[in-house]
Amino acid sequence: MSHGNGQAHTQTHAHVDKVLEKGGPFTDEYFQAGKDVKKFLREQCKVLIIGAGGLGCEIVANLALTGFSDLHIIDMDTIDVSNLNRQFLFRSSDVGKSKAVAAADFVMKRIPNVKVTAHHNKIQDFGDDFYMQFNLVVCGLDSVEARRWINATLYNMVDDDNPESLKPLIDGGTEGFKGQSRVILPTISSCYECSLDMLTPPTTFPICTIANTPRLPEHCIEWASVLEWPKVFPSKKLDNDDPDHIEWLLNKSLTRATEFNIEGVNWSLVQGVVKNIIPSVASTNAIIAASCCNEAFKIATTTAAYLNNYMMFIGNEGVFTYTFEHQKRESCVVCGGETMDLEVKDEMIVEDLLEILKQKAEFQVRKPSLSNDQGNIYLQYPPQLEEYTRQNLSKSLSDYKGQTILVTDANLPFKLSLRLV
Amino acid sequence: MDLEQITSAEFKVTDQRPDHKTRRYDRQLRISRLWAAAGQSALENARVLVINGSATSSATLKNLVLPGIGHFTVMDDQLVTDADIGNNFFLEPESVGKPRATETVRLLLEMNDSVQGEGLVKNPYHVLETQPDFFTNFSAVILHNTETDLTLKLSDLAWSNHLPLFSMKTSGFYASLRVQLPEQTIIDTHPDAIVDLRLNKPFEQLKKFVQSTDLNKVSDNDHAHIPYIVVLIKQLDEWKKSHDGALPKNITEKREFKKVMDSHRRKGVDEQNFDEAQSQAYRAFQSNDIPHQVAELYQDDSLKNLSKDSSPFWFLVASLKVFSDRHGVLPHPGTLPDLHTDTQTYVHLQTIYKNKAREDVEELKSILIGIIDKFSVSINIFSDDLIGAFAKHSAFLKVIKGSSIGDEYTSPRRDVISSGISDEFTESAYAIYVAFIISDAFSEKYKRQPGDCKLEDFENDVMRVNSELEKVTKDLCGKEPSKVISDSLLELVRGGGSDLPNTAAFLGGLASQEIIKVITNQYIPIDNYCIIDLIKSTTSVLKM
Repeated sequence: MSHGNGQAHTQTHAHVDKVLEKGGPFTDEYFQAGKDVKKFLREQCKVLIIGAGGLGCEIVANLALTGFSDLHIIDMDTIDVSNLNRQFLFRSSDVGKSKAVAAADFVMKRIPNVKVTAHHNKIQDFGDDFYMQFNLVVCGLDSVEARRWINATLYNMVDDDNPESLKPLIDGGTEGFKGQSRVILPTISSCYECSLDMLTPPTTFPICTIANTPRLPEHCIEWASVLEWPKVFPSKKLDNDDPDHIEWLLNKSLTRATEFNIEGVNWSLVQGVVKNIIPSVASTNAIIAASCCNEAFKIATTTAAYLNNYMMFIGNEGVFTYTFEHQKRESCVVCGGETMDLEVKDEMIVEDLLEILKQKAEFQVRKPSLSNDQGNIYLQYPPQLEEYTRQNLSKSLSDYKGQTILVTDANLPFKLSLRLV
Repeated sequence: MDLEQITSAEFKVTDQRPDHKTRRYDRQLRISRLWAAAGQSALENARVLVINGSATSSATLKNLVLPGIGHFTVMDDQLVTDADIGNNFFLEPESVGKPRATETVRLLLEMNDSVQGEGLVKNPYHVLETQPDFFTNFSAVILHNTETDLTLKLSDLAWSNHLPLFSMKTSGFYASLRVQLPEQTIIDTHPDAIVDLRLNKPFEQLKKFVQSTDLNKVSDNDHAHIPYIVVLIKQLDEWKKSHDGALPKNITEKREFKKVMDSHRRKGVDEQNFDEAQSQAYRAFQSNDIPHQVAELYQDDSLKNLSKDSSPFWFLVASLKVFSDRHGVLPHPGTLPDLHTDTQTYVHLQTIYKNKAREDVEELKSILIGIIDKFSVSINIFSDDLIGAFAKHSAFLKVIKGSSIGDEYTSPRRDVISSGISDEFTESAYAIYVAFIISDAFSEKYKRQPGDCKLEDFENDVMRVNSELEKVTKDLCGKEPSKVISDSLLELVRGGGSDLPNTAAFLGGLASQEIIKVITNQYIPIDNYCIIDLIKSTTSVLKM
């Protein structure tokens, strides 16, 4: 054994080697212990990490310690002071820097033999060629949109004649003391889109309550941000991260709250409501990230069976995990592939259909564009075509009954095929 | 005019911007959803001791340093090896050959300036002999893969000094966490929602409010804004009159109840309040009696043996019992969920509930004063915040009695183990528990973990543990070892007492979460043994 600087650390992998040098009773029979599996893990396997936030920091550190040496990490965000309570690769002096770059630099400094390539980008900046180079993708995101995008992208990349084109997607998510990790094998297992209806719908307040009958401090804050801000600053976008903007909202909401005798408006709540802040702690992130990386390790090495395919974790009361096989959803717009029947009422118009597509848990298409075999029905972009097709919004849906309508969204790389009945 | 001008012109600038510390901890302080200011302050005053500067220990400490624990000590007399830098993120290549205790502490402290830490290069056995009091100066003691005799000595010491102790073990994909708690009495258990509408037992002010509304004599618009609470109370009143005071009992009666209620809707008016009344009707079918778990507290020995040395919690429970004997209900929590109505009515109704809660707290306090007076206990130890929080959460109080690792070792829970191992849903977790016991016996004998050897000696270790398998299984489970047990043992020995980075991170996350719960005395901690199986990706809680 060697010690000190500059010498080879031959026993560095002693712990991980325990489960790579021999199989166990739960190991797949095809597992080949020894040199080859170590070589694949430590020299060949290339892993993409999406997100360098609470989960991402944990994921990149765990994967590096596990022995993966070729890691890429993508994040479009920069570091904020409120990240420091759990995103442990960042220091006060890093505030304002790229999360991906800071995380990569830190891990490379701490663990010398690992290469982490940082991408200060959106995932949508890259195409199939980029994603094709990886063996595995591990996701630690808080954005539903981004997950839907990468899920659909990896699904579309699967080429039946090329086994290498199937990229396992390991996805983690947390909220307070709760979280989940899952393994998605595009085309084989259920996909992210299949479970869209499991998401808790975001809290929304009816406009009439906000405008006329506020009862909660949240109603006053929504009034200030949704109704008053655009009225006072028609050309200025509300920036949730700008303390001056938050302060303006706070004063407005306080005035309204006082007027209606409503208690409880303060800075923290204003920020929480407008940014839709999810409470987050280091411990839950650690548990979920560890689970994701453990699955990545098992998939890359086959040293033990991997998760099939969903682990739900709840830590408020004792500890509770529910591990189960989430089933494919036949009507899934990504992997279901079938034209779906959608029941509509005769008095509905095209605009109502847009609303249904936005609201229904299994669709959640934010900016739907519609077309049929005759051409475009309604397009969100570009502005000229939007204006041109806007007249169709008031058309009756009964004109389209029995036809197949294609729904697309610029933010989502898939087409939804509907038959109105 | 730019934004700044408008801000200062229209309103006076408030000085409400959060300071640096508030911004740093913002995500965990968020409005009672995590552990809030009281919990944060408990965390900042806490001192924990960790035995062994391993990967699991560092992973645990990381999640205590980040949220801002006051002080931590790592006790470890080992020097850093190559294997250590390979699995512990809080060591670096330059650490090799230096003390593990000071090196891990140095790198952990980099994460948070406001936390203090100390690395003690000492042998815990030695400190135990020369300075046993040292171990009692902490808020919690945390162990990782300590030898059985050390675990027993330290857990005995912690038990007799009423200190929480957390004992963690790892081997390959398996891990365990044993939580040894002195009696833990928790007020703020963070239930998902605290809703007590008193539909079934409306108090005087609420009754008056309900009576002041006549469903038939208001305009359509007002009718659509009557709070569903009023609709339900009126309907329930009617129902009881015609049913000898009984609530709707079965599905037929409940349907009938809802049908009659719907007949009060105004035709052609969109009445969201009636939609709410339908969906919330189940609350009207519940009695407002004392919840089962609170009634159980009233039977607790701590209440029977109340003395001047009893904890404030038990005096409060004693007062609660008098209160609920007197009224047949618990104090009102003072909360009102949002419901469809106009602002004025909502605020009015909210005030009615809040005033009731205030009244109840006052009454509880005067009962308390009467009780503590008999024991010459001062009211000063009961802040108004404490009494208020206790009253608000009284339906969700939780007491954990705890049991010692020493007792578990000398007299294992054979009944629990044998029934757990016979149930197909829990068999696998209990099998791992038994495997850990066999592994402990091995390490007591050979002073190392089974499987922690050269590859060529592995089969030999397997033979040695297998020779214990039958005896231990028969003793603990009352039957021959099943394949599940022997496979679990083999997998545990395959791990060889290793500390895989992901297992360490998982266990470290879980343990730190439990430590935070105990330190903040919020949420409900594990009672008392958690098995982690990272092959199946499951956790199971056993009570030993």
